Amino acid sequence: MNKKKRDLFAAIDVGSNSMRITIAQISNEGKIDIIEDLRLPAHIGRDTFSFGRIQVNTIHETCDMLNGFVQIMKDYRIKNYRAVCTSGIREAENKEYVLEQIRIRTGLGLEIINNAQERYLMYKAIRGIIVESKKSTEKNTFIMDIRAGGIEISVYAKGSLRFTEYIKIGSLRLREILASLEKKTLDFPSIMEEFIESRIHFYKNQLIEMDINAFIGLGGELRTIIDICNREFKTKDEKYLSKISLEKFCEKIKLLTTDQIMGKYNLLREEAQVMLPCVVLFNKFLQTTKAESISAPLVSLRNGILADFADAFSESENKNDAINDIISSVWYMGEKYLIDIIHSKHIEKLSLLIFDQTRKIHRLGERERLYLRVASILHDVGKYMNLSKHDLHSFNIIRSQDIMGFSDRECEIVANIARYHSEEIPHNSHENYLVLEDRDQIIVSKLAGIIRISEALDISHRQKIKEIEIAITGRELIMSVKSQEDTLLEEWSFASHMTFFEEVMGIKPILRRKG
Amino acid sequence: MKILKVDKSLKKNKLNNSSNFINRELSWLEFNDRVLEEANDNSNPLFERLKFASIVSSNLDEFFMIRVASISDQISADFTEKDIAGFTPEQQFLKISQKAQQMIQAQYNCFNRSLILGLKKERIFLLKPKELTQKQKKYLDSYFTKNIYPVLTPMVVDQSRPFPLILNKSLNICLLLEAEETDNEPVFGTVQVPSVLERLIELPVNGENRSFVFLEDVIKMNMQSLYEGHKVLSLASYRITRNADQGLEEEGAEDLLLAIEQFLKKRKWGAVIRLEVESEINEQLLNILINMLETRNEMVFRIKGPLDLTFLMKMSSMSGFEYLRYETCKPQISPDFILEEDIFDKISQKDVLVHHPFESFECVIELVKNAALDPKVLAIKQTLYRVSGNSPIVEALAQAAENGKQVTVLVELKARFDEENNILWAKRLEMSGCHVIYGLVGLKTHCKVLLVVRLEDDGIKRYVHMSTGNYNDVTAKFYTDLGLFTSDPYFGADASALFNMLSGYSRLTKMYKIDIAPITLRDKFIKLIKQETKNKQQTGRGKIVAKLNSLVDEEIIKALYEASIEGVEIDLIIRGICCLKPGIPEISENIKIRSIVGRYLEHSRIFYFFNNGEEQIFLSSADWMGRNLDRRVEIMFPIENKEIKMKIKDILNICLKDTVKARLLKNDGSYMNIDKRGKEIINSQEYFYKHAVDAVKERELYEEENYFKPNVIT
Repeated sequence: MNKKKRDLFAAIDVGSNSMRITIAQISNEGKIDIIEDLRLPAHIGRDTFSFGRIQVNTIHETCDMLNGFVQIMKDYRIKNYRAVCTSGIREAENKEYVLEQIRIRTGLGLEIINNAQERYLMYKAIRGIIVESKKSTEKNTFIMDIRAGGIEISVYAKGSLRFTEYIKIGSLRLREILASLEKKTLDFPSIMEEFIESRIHFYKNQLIEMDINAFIGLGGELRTIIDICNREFKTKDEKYLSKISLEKFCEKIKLLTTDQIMGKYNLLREEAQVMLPCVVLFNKFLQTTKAESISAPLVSLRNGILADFADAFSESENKNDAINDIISSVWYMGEKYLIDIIHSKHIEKLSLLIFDQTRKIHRLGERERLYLRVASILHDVGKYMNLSKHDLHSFNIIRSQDIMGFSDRECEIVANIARYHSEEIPHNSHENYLVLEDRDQIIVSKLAGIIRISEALDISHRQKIKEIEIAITGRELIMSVKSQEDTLLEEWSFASHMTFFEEVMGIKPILRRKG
Repeated sequence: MKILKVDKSLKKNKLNNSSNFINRELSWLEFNDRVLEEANDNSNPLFERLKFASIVSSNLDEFFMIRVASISDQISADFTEKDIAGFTPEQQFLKISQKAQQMIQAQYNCFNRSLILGLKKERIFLLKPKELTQKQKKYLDSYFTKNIYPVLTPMVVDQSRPFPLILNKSLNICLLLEAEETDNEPVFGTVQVPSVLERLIELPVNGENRSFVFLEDVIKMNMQSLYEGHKVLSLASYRITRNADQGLEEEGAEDLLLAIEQFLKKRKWGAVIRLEVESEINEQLLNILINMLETRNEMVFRIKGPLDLTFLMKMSSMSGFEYLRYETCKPQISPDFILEEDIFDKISQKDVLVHHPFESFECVIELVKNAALDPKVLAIKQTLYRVSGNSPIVEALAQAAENGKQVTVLVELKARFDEENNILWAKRLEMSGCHVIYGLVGLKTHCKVLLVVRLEDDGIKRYVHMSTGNYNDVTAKFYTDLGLFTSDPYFGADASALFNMLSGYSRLTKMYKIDIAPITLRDKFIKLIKQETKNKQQTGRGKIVAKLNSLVDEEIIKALYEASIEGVEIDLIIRGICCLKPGIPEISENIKIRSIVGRYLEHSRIFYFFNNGEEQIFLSSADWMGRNLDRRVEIMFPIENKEIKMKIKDILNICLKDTVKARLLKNDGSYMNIDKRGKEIINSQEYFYKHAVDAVKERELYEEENYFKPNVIT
């Protein structure tokens, strides 16, 4: 019975500067073996960022290259693949045509993913690495991803995500903001340090308190930095950058101009330009932790995609880990907007209970359950802005968030559910509802129906109803609740929300009080 | 100690001196002399000597068409830069002419004095017209009318008819005809000796004698009838060799296949490099030829005998006369493949090294054939450089594609002189559904790799075969090569990455074990040589043994000189060109170079480094030449299996011990015999064959003895 099963998967990443495909074999135990890794340079980013649209020639070239990837997939008879593209295509005006061309000429369905999905996949990829070295699950791990526009920092403690922030001090952005200063001072590096300090001051104490003892670095030319340090200090670590090396290198590089950096370390101008901000950023954050080195795992979006496949294929524990990461980050988001945590937890519990007991009726799946869960946690974030029309504010806040692993469409769904958690019900005069696909409208309505019942049962925010049993008899959904307290308000609220539930679900909810 | 250092750096400065190098072309001519030596060698069977004499000629043809052509191009372009040995193109041209003239004289001495006599002893006669009997003449007259006359195109040159284009390497007869009006200059005529007919015409058998006449002689005898009404004053055979080194204009050639087809048409009309004429040619006739063909005097070769001795190759394959040939040596099955097991299981168990032609090439064909039929096989990828006509490998690949396997074949169309043949089978592969890729623009794909991807019970598994020789079942019978079969996953990943690069599907990603030219191979060689130099300095021990076909690359030669200066012991077995000069005091005293020319063409490339006792052995498709390291896709792979390492070390040792077919390179660039005194007489190629036969016997005996024994697992 324990026969090992394996299957082959392909992960394709059509990036701004390069296109890559990784082919891997995944066992039902979730082990990923990379079989092939291909890379070709691409010009999609150049086109999008300078012309706003992808040129015809680039489309031809891209299709030709992808056809090579398709041939490799044929070599392995691969059926399971996921092909994603990021900002290079996402920000192109003609992205729809490009995707259609690619679909017709290569047969590949290319999926545009947003920042939050990108982050989710990267974390999935890293998680694979964290899980591999068991010790680190006991550690408090800091993850820092330096991108051109901003840095993404997060903390994992005891195996779950505790903290995540996006700060707009990316390597290229720092260069640009401070460009005018560079010519006015001889001590530009100190100015840059001061500036960074001013932006991260708010988080610094928080980080120190978290007692961090492991540091993972992503992006930010980290591998180039490690290569240079290895040469400079005669070390041989491929995956680690020690604190001492980083400090020494930081002091050195502060004394050099961009041109000198280019010459001395044999770098391209693009690389040399961001070298100083990256080194300073890594150094600053490493100082706030107790970690002795930065580890640079060789991870990519493709690793994340494969890890995702592995979870689905192997039904391993990791799947829950990934959901837990999302939920942790959502709680973190809610806390920022000062939600009533106890109330939100109660709504989350009630909603999921109703959802699970009525699966036969609503016929929704695990992903939809996740939408409900996220919406339950975040439904009141709008109160941070104003108590009146807070549902509308909640809608606006949620749709502006990057919920880890959620596509733009999924974010809209969650925002809509939150919008309809209290007073209003979906209506075709609401633009936010109207723009949804038919299928998504149903999802929103059904889940809103559930969350409205939960909200009704805790309208007082006092968690009067501790226990609830649900039974279906004929066309009635009997909810028997136990409470020591007076639940008149809840019963009244329930009565006003049950019509919508019945309309959407086709079953009438009845509230019964037991003792 | 300090003084010593200064001394050494001084020596290093001296390395650039051109007197430290041998000119590449002259070195090649020395190699061809070695081939001629085999033709002269009485201890070789007569028909084999004919073959060697023929090879001397075909080698020279190629040499003139490519190498000398390139030098004359340089001269025409007023290019005066000196080569590594300090010669200008003009100086090289003159030296080549001098040496080639001597060689051809020696070759015809061999043919006239030795080979013809040898043939006579076997009652085989090559008759001249004056030696023919009336009866034979009559036979030939009728042969001429029936077979030769219809395919002849006699031509004359006059004011209305310009000098015709003479085909490269074609044999022709030129003649002077008496003019119609007696005051006028004689008229020039020429007729091509048809290449569609046999060069030698056999006369009716007379007892045990077998007699042959040259086709051109029969035409000459009947020349008057071709130009009826004009008196033939004088005639002579001639042959030209044209420039065939028309470097392919690849840039912008969208379709390589098309470019090559066009190039083939163009090749016939390169400048005339060499003119061969029979020695008794009339001076007036010769002057006309030289003028019309624009040949330099130094490249006119007056031949004492029949032009173009390549007919000897055909003659040596005449049926019968087995006793005049080498004893047949049937390639042996590699002992590792004796049992009729699944070939994939076999390779899974351990790496297998095969030594061709002593061990059979059949296992390679077998692997492709099995892969074509095996249901577990998903994909086959292979590089093909030169393949035989009706290649069983091409057939098996086509079969595999027809069976639904993904077959990717990297065809190198630019394999010199083989293009026409290459295009034919490339089309065959395409028709069957293979993905045929025609190499990278600007780089010849010279590496020999075969990759079979299989989906087994425990996942994807890759089988790799890498070799020093081409996937050619015919040449595998007379080229010495080494091939490695392995299922090492690192080699598998490297082979995949290599094919992805060659097919343009990917940039080259990180390689685990294989080094690739033109990317890392040159640096790797230099690194290995320098490492040995450093080891010698530090530990007092250093040794390099390399077996290859040509050593031309300046950077490598200098690295070897530096190693020799440090005292690294260097033994090189180089079949052909060698620009390194051994035995220069204080520079190359520690370098010994030998060349083995024998029954089989030495072709394997093996590189050994002592490496402080952790010996490193590599096999490669590359020679130490600029073209291999910079302009071709080549690979070098390490040998890691201990048993196989031992096997290869033995091969190198036996080559170094060869006293029969090996020659030592002297300081002046020529070769000398090995001093046999006190040494065991070893002919390395014979040794290897005997060894292969013994190994099979041993294995069979072992299998027999163990047949009834139960397997005891301890």
